Amino acid sequence: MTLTEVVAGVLDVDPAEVTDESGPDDIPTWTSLRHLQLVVTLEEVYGLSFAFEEIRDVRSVGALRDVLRAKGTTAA
Amino acid sequence: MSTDLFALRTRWQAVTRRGPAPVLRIGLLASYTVDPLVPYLGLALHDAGLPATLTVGPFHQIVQQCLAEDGFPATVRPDVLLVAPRLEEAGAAGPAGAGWADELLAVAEAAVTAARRQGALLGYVLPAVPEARPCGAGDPMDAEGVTAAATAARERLRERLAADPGVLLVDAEEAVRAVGTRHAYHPALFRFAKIPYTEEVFAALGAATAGLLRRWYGAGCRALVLDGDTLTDPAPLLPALRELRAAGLRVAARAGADGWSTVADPELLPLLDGWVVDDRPPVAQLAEIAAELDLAPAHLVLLTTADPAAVTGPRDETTTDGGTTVTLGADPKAWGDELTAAGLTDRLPARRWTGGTRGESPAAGPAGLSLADFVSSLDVQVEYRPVTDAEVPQVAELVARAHDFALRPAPAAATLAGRTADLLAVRVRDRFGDYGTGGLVALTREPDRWTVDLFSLSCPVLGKGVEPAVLRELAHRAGTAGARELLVPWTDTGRNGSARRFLADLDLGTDPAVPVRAVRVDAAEPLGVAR
Repeated sequence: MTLTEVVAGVLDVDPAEVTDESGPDDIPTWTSLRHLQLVVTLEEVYGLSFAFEEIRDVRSVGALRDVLRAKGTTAA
Repeated sequence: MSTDLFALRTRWQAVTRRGPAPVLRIGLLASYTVDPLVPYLGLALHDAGLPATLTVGPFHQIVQQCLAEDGFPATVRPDVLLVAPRLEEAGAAGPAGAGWADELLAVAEAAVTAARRQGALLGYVLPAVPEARPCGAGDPMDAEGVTAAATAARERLRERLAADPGVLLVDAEEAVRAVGTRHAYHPALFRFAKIPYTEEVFAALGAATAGLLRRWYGAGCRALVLDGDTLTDPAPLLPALRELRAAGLRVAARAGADGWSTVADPELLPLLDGWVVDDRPPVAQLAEIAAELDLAPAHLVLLTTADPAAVTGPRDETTTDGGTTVTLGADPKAWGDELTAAGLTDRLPARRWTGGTRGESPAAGPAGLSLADFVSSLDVQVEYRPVTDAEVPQVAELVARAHDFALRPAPAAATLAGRTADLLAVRVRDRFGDYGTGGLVALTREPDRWTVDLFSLSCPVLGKGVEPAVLRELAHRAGTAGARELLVPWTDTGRNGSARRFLADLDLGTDPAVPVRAVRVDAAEPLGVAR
């Protein structure tokens, strides 16, 4: 499952709307609660865990992708 | 697990977009953020033929919302009020769990009262045993330990509620057990959003709650339909099928035109109350079986080893026939245990209302509690202190999250950093604990008038009387400084419902030192602009 598919699924948006620049400011459903669900889902799907700081600081799809790649996830 | 739960949540999104008209309204009140329960409970009810709208009320305000005449139950008017407190938010355990028991009995009485007032069924979630145990592995040896205190409190609650015919009891401890404690908690979820459990626990809790509601509304399993196309050798199932029949469940079978040999199995055939073997789609076959057994489709459970969609076709989320599926694994040796574990004969116990056996005294017990009594009993203490430059990121984060009680959209941290001299941090404590910095105020101080530019409170401190206490304190300070008015301009952000309701009908309890005037403005001026 790709990062875009997870983001679109959790935030309930069309995958075509999801870009690396997408974040809470331009996806209305990206609330603080959905942000956590997004992180938890990524942990579940990719079998990894985010640090508190990473959860707090990632504010875009691109930033999520960077964190996932830094953890060795190639599917992102 | 992970992708399965993700798939369920995605399906729930599809259901809410295109789903059928709801037949149930469910209101959820919890001492924590219970929103993650919604997709699992909603989907399980949808699949059971009980499509529902689910609305989550303000968190950590169960008693206040239940006691207030215009509280959440009165506003939502639910068919089912689901109330979920946790022991961790119930203050000190007290001797033999008496402190916890008293607090949660007060919650229970308030919830029972609110549910009866609305003609609703009350679903009460018995709290799980807290995971934080000071003695750790030594807790089982401590008669005053967490497990002992929690068990005593839970039994007091069960004793009060179990026999009440208007109450269903769900057990959060069972959900945690089902998942296992290693997978039941995620520290970040609680730290950032006060979500105490993982998605797995909410999924288990949703399934259990939906199962009870199905039975309450008469939509429990009455007949099991074997999928003869996939269960070509039913022999491993026969002992479990005999037990289910003995427990009152009816058994039928469906198969395609080539499946007669399965249905005609000499050991299976005597157990069948009906069968359909032909070329029609399975959905039509199930409808015929339901009619033949004089049951509704919601009463049937299909037993298969295949993806349910492959048997009955893709789900049409605009309708719900109510039938559910038990999918068995690949190993036939495990089928019997899997079928037994599916809980198809679970039922609600016969209950005779006794009113509880402890007979709480109206004077000492929670039954006569009013909202004012409850808020007064919280012993809320509010303190104010200046904000330093170093604290700005922390208070900015608080303001960014305080959607429900805010005067305006949250300003950027940089804006707050430029006004630290105008900021007051609000710290809140009550008998349940210390909430730390629970609010922020920004003031413009002019000789004749003080203006509240920012007044944000986090959810955990709402509903305790903090809102009027802060404005009374600001009015006092304004009066002491010689001002003659405290102005509170606010705008509708679309999410600040608590602030909107509070300010639209401002009641500070006692007369403030100077008049306090709340003024609704169409669009709040950016914070930092001089008035």
